[in-house]
Amino acid sequence: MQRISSNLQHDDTQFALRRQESRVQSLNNQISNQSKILNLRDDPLAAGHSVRYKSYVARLERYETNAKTVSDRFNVTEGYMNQSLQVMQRIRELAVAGANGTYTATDLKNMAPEIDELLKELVLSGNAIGPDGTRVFAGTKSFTEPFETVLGDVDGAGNPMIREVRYKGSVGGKDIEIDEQAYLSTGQNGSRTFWAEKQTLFSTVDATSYMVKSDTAINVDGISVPLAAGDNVYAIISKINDSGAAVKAYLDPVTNGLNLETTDARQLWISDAEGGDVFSSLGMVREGQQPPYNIAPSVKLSGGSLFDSVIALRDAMLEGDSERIGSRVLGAIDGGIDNLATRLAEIGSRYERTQATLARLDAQILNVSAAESRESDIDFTQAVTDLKMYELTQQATLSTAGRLYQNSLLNYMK
Amino acid sequence: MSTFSGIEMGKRSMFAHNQAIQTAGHNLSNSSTEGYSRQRVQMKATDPLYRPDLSRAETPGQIGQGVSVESIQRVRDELLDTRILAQTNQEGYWETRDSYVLMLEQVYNEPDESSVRTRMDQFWDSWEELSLYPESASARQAVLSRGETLTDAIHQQYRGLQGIRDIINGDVEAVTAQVNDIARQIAGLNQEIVKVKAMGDSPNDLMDRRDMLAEKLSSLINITVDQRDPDEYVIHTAGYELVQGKSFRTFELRSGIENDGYPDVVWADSGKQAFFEGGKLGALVELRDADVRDEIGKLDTMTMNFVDLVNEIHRDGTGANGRTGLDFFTEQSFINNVAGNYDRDGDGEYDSSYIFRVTGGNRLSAREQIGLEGTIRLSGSDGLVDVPYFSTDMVADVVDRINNSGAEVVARLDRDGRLELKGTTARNPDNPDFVIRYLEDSGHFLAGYSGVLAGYGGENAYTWETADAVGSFAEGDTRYAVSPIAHPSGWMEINKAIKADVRSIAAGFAAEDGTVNAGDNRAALAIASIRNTAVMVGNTRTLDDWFADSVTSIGLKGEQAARSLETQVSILKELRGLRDSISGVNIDEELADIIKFQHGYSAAAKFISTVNDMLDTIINGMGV
Repeated sequence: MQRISSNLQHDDTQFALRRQESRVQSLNNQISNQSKILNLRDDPLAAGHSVRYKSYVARLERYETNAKTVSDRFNVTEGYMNQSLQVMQRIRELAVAGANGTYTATDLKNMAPEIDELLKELVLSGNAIGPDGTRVFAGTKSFTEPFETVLGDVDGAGNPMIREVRYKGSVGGKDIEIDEQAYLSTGQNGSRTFWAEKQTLFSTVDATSYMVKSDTAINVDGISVPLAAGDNVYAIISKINDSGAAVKAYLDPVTNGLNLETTDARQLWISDAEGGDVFSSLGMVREGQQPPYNIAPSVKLSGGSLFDSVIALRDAMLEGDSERIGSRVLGAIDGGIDNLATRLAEIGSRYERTQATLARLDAQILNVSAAESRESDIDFTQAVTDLKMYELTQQATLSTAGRLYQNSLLNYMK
Repeated sequence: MSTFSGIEMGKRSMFAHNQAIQTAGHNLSNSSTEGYSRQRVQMKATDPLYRPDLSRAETPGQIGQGVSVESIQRVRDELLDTRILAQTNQEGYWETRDSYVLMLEQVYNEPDESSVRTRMDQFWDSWEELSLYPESASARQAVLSRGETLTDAIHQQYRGLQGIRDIINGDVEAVTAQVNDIARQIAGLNQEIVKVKAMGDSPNDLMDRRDMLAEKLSSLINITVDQRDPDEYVIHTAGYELVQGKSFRTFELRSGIENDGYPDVVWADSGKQAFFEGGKLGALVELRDADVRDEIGKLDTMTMNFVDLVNEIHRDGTGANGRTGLDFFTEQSFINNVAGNYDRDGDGEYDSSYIFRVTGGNRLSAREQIGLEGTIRLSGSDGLVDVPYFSTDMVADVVDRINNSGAEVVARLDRDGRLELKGTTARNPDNPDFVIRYLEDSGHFLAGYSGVLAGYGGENAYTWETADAVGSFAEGDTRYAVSPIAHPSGWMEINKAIKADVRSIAAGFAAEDGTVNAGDNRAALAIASIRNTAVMVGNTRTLDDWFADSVTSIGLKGEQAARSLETQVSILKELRGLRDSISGVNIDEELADIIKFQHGYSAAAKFISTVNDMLDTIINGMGV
């Protein structure tokens, strides 16, 4: 521009000063808020990332709390199971002693009360209440006593004694989310923990001609297995075997009935889904009853719980039958101890898993927090240096503005 | 040559120089007036004597007759003015956008500690706590309180956005009145200017004022000025004439039922809608009807989907007091009709079906090959969108294709593996939000395979334009949900039944006999999993994606507005500087000119006194 009007210098200075003031102000704000992003427009992409990271860190902290709670619960459960194991060791000692044939029937009868007391101790452990007021071994039925004792008259005993211990809890596991979409099963059902032998269900009804009438489902050990119309018994068997339940199904070679066997020591629960009738048509369950006591009378069920084996020991001692003690009963007790030990190992390994998860979550939280900070926090050194530079520029502009109108023709006219 | 011609010449010269000094003084006085262009006196030598005609005197000529003022012109570059008009329009547009988009950004309150996202995280946290302690009533109380806080936060954001929309609407009304006023003023000035020009004068100051008004008008709406005909000053806008000479047209506001009751700007005489590009009014209308409406639409999408997902799981769950089938969130203005029937044109008969979501009856597995082929037709923003599928596709592929097709229907497989189709917000304001408008399948995917429609082909298509369109859905376990009438984010609440008894909050699912175990936490886990799984919130996959996307998109709009405004301001500064350099007053220049004309004036006065002395010699000195 060749010609400069008088206003132009003034306008230019004003423009520059306003710009500098706004820059200084926004930097000051950033420094006092310790954040680079005061408005979303300051860095939209970083704001998007920062928002994601923040939510992620909040989730990780929740998973950490969950994992800690879960590991505490495992500790409590393990304590009770250990106690039960100690009791079972003592019972085994007595069983071995009773089996060696050196005791007379009267001696055995005198050992029976100790077994009875130890049985009561076992039942007490089984019915333990955890620190948050829920039953430890009842599955999801938190306030129901899992093991119900039935007292009755036993040959050779003077007082009523425990004849049967029934499991009243549920088989559902309680999953807890300990990492993004990762669930840990935390339930220790009494029907798995305090079981001695595999349960096998022998059906006597010929199933080879059976066909499923309409789309329905059956519940095996808490897992729902969907069946389609037209499935015959072989299809049912393969679906049960593929379903992921710890149950093996097969056709009985003698009676051609549907036999079910658990793969490890646990109680077998079967039922029909709502509106279905597969098991009841096959004569395996009674309608209208809840598992596990819905098995039809025509079905033979074998495999008992830990309590059953101890009751068997006590009854055998009361009768003075050391043969039986040494063979069947000792086998059952050994099975129970093995199972309990396996379940303890399971808890131990789950506990280890939560510890590993906690360690990983700790590191993860640190890393994500660092990433979030890199996106949205201010680099203090840079900000202060910039501020100083802007202030200097502003000073220079102001001093120039002050000298703008010093020279004009008026100074030189008389 | 006459006796007194010298005096006349001197007199003429004195008047001319006087005029010039006046004009220079006028320039000096107006050196800081906005929009002032400096004026210059055009002097020309008076017609000399003698012209070649019969009355010519026999003396060598032509003899000059001094100076006269021809005109007073203002120094102005009209081409530069046209450029500045065009740029001012852009500046007005971006300036308005900049300030309102900043308000929109601030509504989000991100990445701060108290935004909708943090409340959502806390709500999720309370469900996780419930999954740890499903028997606990205090965990349920936490769920309820955090749910109320979340509802409040969503309401607050909705009201903030709605408030901004109302403010913008107020501005639209004010700016329309301003435009009308300026048009009227320009027409008045045109009339004055034409009259002055007819007298042969230059109405410089009036033209300065008119140019300033034109510039002001240009920052409000996009105009072009046409000065080819010197008698008629025409301003065009949006293809029509706004001001022509002394006549002008005005705008007015006309309310409609569409567009949430906000008025459109129309030409007052013809009633046709006026469309503006750029300028403050253009920016305001765009902000009100596109940007803020989109933001409200996004919030509604998130709310609608979230509410539907939570309710679906909670209805299946059973509370600690045995109650089941309760919605967790309710919306005040849902369509009451169970089949979604609605009377759209107000004639008293149901004529449309407003269905938001339909879930098929068959369980599918995402990795299964479908072995079918055909084309699915879905409603899109303008017309129908075709989505083909082939026999080698997996179910997940078809779902992805539907989501990427640009239709206003999205799909997902829910937690039981059923195909779920949901309506999104509608781009065209004439279509309602969250309504599935059309579903058709030429093959068997929607009909038999997933159990959504009752049959295939065009005759079994689902269309929203009839009542009881839910008859087109398959029999069996197909489920559907009705659409909201009003904005969900403004009207959602927690179910009163839950507020009354906090133990109604379901943490688990009941067994076949209807009883729920106290320790069953499966419903709580399922609700918690909504937070970070692919649930299709409108067109974004997860809620995390939605939050990040909404923050980034408004931030980018703000960044664009700020940068564009900076650019426009710099450009205009250059142009205005150029105009100032041509038309602005330079005080030193004017002062020097005053000195020059002052000398001229004194010289003329000296000349007159010399001639006076000469005349005095003739009249008084020659004794006759």
